[in-house]
Amino acid sequence: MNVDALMMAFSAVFTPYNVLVICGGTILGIFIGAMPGMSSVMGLSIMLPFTFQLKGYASIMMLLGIFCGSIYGGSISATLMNTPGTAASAATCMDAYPMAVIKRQPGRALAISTFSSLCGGLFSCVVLVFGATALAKVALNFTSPEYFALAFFGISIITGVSGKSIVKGLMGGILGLLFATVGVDNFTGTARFTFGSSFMRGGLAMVPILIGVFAFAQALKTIEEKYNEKPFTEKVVIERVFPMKEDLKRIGSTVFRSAVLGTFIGAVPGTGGDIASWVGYNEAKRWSKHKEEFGHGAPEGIAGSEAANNAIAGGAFVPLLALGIPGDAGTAVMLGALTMMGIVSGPLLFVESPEQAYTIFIGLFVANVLMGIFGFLMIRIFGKVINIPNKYLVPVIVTFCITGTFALNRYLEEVFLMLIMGVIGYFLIKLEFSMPPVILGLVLGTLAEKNARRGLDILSGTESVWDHPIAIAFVILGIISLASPAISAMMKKRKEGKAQNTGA
Amino acid sequence: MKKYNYIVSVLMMVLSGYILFETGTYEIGQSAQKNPAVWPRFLAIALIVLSVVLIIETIFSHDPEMENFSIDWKGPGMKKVYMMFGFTIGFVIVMKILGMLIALLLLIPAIEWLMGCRSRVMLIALPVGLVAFVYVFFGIIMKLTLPGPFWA
Repeated sequence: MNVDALMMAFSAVFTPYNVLVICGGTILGIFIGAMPGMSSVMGLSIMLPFTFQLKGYASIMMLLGIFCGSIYGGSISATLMNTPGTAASAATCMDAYPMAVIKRQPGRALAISTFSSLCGGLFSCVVLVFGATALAKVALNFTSPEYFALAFFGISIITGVSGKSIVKGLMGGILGLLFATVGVDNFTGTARFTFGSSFMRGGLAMVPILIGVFAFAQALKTIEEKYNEKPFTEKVVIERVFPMKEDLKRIGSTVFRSAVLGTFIGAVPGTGGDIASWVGYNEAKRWSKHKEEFGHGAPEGIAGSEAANNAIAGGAFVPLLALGIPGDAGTAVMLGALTMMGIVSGPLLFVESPEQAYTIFIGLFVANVLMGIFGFLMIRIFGKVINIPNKYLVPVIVTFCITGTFALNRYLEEVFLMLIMGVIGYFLIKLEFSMPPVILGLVLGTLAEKNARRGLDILSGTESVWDHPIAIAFVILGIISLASPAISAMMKKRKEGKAQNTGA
Repeated sequence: MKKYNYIVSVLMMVLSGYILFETGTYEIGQSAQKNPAVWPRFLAIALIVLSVVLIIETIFSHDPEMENFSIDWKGPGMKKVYMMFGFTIGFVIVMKILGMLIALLLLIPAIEWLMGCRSRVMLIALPVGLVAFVYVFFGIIMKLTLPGPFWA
């Protein structure tokens, strides 16, 4: 580990300004996550343009705070309203809501969830430091074919975030890749798909598309589904803010197990907090001595799900920082943000600018610690503020979509682009397309094209494809990743068939 | 959903056709790096293949969810969305003429009303508060010149 770079990173993070920014980002993230209808990705997309106005590393610090805070925040509405603020908190509802409402112990449920989230998040940060550094060392030998194979592998995770239809997920991914081709070609200077517009020659800006498909499209969906919605009116009284000793004893091993699982799942591109939380919940149930309590307010159920879904934060950063490929939609937004800030993630980051990598490690660690602190401190006020009615929330989201997009580059055309992409995104969602593949395609498009074209030239020269075993390995992994949903569906069918035969 | 899958497939094929046509007009060099058409063409072909796969999948699918799925384009929720499209177009026009702040002052209460808010206090307080925030945060703190009215 480069000690000088580490010290530089410490001094970059621990300035009063940056600490304040992480605090602000974390609190904001907790509220974003806690509000049903606002996801972590949506919060990151809306806030992205605002963070660019901050100085130095402050913008990335704020995004890290929002990222960590919003993953945790989802558990608050899951606990108090039985409505997961984010998909990753759906498993938390299973036991947190019964404990909070049926057992009338909302403080206990929130305290367990906060403690587990904190432990999961911190554990994954430690793994990130060692995991990313080791992976980056291997990745240093990569050339164009390897980078193309890597981008292919990154794009292949689309099948994991495709929603209901894999074919539509792949189509969405290709649309994203096509969006990335708009503008002047880097190699030849040819204007592609610009329709004679000077605005389009620079390419389609990533942030307006992100805001459009994630935030504005979601706002349109909320208008369609939740107009005239009656707000949640039950009053919540929080009786305690820290977990009891007995609970800590009971959930200790569950928290550790789920943190390990969550970190591992997060590090596998294409997975995410929702998968991690269900796996964590299932494993908590499998290993519990009180299986009968599950579904009725079991502390292990809350801990299992929350430790796992918060652990994905650090895990998802491993491939992001070491290889430059995002693990899920949230890290895809983070990759876009890093690129726009001039931080090129990938193995060279650890050689050329190790202080930037360490700054992100430390920032994520601090964001997790602050998430825990604010989580415990603010438990009492959560019950009062999570229930902002959609009739007020939607206009606020739309306002921030518009002003945020404009603030980025001060182009009105980008606001129009955001609105158009929002409308397209809304119709695509209605037709059961998933949006993360579009963003993954957009984010990885330039990397994929550049290295595919270079790689083709290299391979048509003196080198053979067999000179690049790592590239072959990534392509095979990518094919497995693409085929995995079909394979798992076939295995499930076969299992069901066997079970039916046995039953007969 | 079957009908929509066919429509989506045809639209994607049309898009691919356009890409293949447009890239046919590019000047192409000897190597892949000098060929700006190679990547978009590859993507267009992949999109055609996926469109065909979607059609085949839809024809042979017996998934009841796919059979029964329908979109109510005339439902009350959709009507609200169409109104929101109208408000968005109106916002763009008003913003070009009267500037962003006045356009937001009109758009915010329109969305509140669309979402069922009938409280006069909130129909006034939220837009005023939000626009004041936008003006102070962007205009004063960030020194950002927001699009103004055409006469300014």
